[in-house]
Amino acid sequence: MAFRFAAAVVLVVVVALTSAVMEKSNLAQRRRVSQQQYRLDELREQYSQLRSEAQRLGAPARWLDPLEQGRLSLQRPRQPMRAASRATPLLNWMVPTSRDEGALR
Amino acid sequence: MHELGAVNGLSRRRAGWLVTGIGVAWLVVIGRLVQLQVWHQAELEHRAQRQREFVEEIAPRPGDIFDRQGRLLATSVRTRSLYVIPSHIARPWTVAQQLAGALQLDGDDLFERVGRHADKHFLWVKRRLSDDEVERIRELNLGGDWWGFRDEFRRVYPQGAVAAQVIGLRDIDGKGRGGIEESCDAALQGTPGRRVLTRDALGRVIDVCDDPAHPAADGKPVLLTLDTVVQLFAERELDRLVAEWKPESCCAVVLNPHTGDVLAMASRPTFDPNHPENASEDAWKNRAIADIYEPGSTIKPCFVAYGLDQAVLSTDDHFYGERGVYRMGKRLLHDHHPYGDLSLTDVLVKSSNIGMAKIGERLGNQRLHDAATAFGLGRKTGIELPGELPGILRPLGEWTSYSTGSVPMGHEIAVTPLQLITAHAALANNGKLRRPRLVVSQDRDLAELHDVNQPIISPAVAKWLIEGPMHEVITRGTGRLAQVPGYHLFGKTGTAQCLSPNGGYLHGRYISSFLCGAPLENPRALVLVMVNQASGGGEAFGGRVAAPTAAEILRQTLVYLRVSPDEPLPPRMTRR
Repeated sequence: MAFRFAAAVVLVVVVALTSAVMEKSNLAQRRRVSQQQYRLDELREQYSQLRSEAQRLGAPARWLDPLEQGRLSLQRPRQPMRAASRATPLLNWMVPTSRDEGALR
Repeated sequence: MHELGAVNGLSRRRAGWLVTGIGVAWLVVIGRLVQLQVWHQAELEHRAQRQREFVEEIAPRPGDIFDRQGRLLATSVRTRSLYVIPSHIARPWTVAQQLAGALQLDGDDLFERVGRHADKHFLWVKRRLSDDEVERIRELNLGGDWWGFRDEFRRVYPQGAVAAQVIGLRDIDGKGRGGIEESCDAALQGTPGRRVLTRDALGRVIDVCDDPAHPAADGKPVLLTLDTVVQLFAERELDRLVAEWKPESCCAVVLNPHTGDVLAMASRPTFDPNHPENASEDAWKNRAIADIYEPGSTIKPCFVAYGLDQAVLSTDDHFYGERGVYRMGKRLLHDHHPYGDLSLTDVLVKSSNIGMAKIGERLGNQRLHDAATAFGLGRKTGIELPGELPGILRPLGEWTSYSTGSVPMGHEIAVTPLQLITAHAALANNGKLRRPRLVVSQDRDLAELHDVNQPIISPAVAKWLIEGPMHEVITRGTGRLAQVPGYHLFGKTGTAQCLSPNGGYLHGRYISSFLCGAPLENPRALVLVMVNQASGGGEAFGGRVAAPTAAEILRQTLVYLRVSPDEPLPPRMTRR
């Protein structure tokens, strides 16, 4: 009789402890999901800001006049900025400095 | 014995009372538990949920606006806005001074505002804070649940003050005001979502859960037909025109006549949408769709085209110029030169008003009205912008004998610059009137539904006009200043008096306009420049004021579109 009573009590305690552990694990997972969603939001926001800044810097209003006046060269520089070749060679160009212009003359 | 029995009886009674008391107490507890957990369960559960859960709206990110090359014209970045709950503020004066100091606001004003809304649960302190301001607020280490940040979106225009009137603005509440921001607001705005925050007893958020039934949907992107580079050409040349001729206002439109795509639409004065607080009152108007004026001579080719198509006119017709003075009924018409015999071509090349009046007599009011209607005058073009005016085309019943002479000269009717260039686009598009468009529709069926490509004159007539008289306007006529080395242009000048708001005309005030296109065989671009009351230089003639600007915009556009020149370019090409 006492044994059965003790076994029932132990069973209830084990079930309660197991549910507590599972609940804790569940909450921890939800916290991680929330954190990832927060990180995703932050990354999306960072992407928007960087894209906006890139578009602003590359706006035709900034480079059209220098291009037409010859102050912007689309020619490939003699010294590439990177040693390895790029898949997008046009990205190698840069605005010539006064030193470069003197050397070219 | 008797005493022992009596004592036992008393003890049993006391024990009985005690057990009964304990039993009753338990019953009370059980009853209270039943009351709380069964009878009042729903109400208490709801109250607890209200205390621990808080529903927050998730603001949707507005959609981006792109030009035809994929350049970003408008986008949104997240900012934080600071709010307080005045009813929860214990020391409003201290709070107001603290916040005002961090945000560089007036402390007294803030205190007054908080006091005025003392019973409210929400009050904006400052919206769209910079990162520094957010940091300063965080450094104050404000505790409690009486304040918070809310995420909002600030609109940014990376291309600067380009096509400002076409794009429009989003106001502080995220609503589109003017331009594409307003007309496409339903698509751009998106749908807000909901998020449930779970708080502990101290008000700290312990769980965040997006409501799956109300997810946030970001706004859809909008793709425009504008080309930022062509737009820049137009804006730059308008700035030069303004510096030289100092007009009240001016505008330029660049259109592809075959597709109806608007490549550029610029107005002056203008504003920078990134700093709308600096805009003048008249900078908001998109003059290409919201200014109406009498087109004057620029509309003449359309009436001639209609007459030829109706076989009322013939390409080898001649009209006598009456040596510059012609009595037409009660009125006396004048030409600026005393012309004699004029061919139909010369009527347009020399822009003879008397020649056009005689053409009007031959066509008659009915056909003139039909011609104006066929070319889209008197009704909106349907472009996807708010605030477009339909122009003025009076009903035929209100026309008089004066109208027969006036309308072919471009008087007694009023058009917007967009209507005028659309009418001419029909001539450049083999006689088919095309609806101008600014938005590239993602929905193909909807695009087909809205597409208009209506034949109004025969291709042969359109071709003759473009390659004949309108080309000769440039080579030997009133548009000689619009000649572009290497390209064969066609065009038409216009100089019309300004309408007075009280009726009649303003003395000495003119609208100078010029429309041109190229190449002749297959026009790729049309440009219209309209100048309202040029005051510098003592000139008003469209061929002098507007023509050079329109030609330069066209030249740059043709080079940018890589249209091959019609003849070899001279050895040294310099800008005007």
